[in-house]
Amino acid sequence: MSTLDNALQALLTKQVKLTKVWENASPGSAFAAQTIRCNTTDAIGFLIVHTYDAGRNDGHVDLVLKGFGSYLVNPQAYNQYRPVSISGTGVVFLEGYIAVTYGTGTSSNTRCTPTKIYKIQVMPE
Amino acid sequence: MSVLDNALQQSIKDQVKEITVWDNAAPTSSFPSQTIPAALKGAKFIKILFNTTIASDGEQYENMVEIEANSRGYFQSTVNVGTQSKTKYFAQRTIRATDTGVTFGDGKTVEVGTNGSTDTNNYCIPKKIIKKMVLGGYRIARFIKSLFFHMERRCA
Repeated sequence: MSTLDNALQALLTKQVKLTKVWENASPGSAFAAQTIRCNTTDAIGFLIVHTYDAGRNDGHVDLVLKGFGSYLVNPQAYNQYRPVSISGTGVVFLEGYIAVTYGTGTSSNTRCTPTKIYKIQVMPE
Repeated sequence: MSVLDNALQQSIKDQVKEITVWDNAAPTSSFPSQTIPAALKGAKFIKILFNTTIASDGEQYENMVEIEANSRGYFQSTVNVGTQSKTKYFAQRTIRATDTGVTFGDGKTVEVGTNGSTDTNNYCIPKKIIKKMVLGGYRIARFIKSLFFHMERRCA
């Protein structure tokens, strides 16, 4: 059994896992600043799928690593963005913004609407 | 064997596998709007590597965008246009992924702070299409189990 055990350990070490932990039940609605609660202790980060405007069928993916503040960014005719970070209790989304010209981000919670969250784990050695 | 089977299922479930399904044979050439046929059924995400420009048209960098399977998105990067610096222009190209391929729109440049865009297929050149899958666990565990079962029978 040890041969099998060693082979399996070698096979699985440092493998990356992606697990869907949340799906937006109302992807056509505005998404206010909020924390989506999930277990973050065993994650190295999260992949966030988001649309540039609520209810659209585009699916940009952004990576948020634990320990770093980040942004969802969705370029279309204008640039949309939403700050996001990871806390001890979940994925923290702030308000969405639309930036039409330099320096003039306007709050708009239909922008960068998260639709799915995937947890990223790396199998230990 | 059921303990091992359960352990395998849990270990393998949700693992990520990436396969390159298309390489651009001419990544430094202009790229008009077109559909690249590719077998993308079963993908969870589609990852696309881009060159920001063709080599002779400003500074060339590699960049990446990832979208969900069967969805649409944009690739965007800051670029030089002519003698203008790359703080002044964005280059963009639309992307649409289906189970059978990826449709790319025309490349466009947009001057920061202005409306309108200019078609120019020398920007946002797709280099690779990568199919990213998330494994289900059960079928693979069953496959591995059957392999061991046949090995054990052969050794018996």
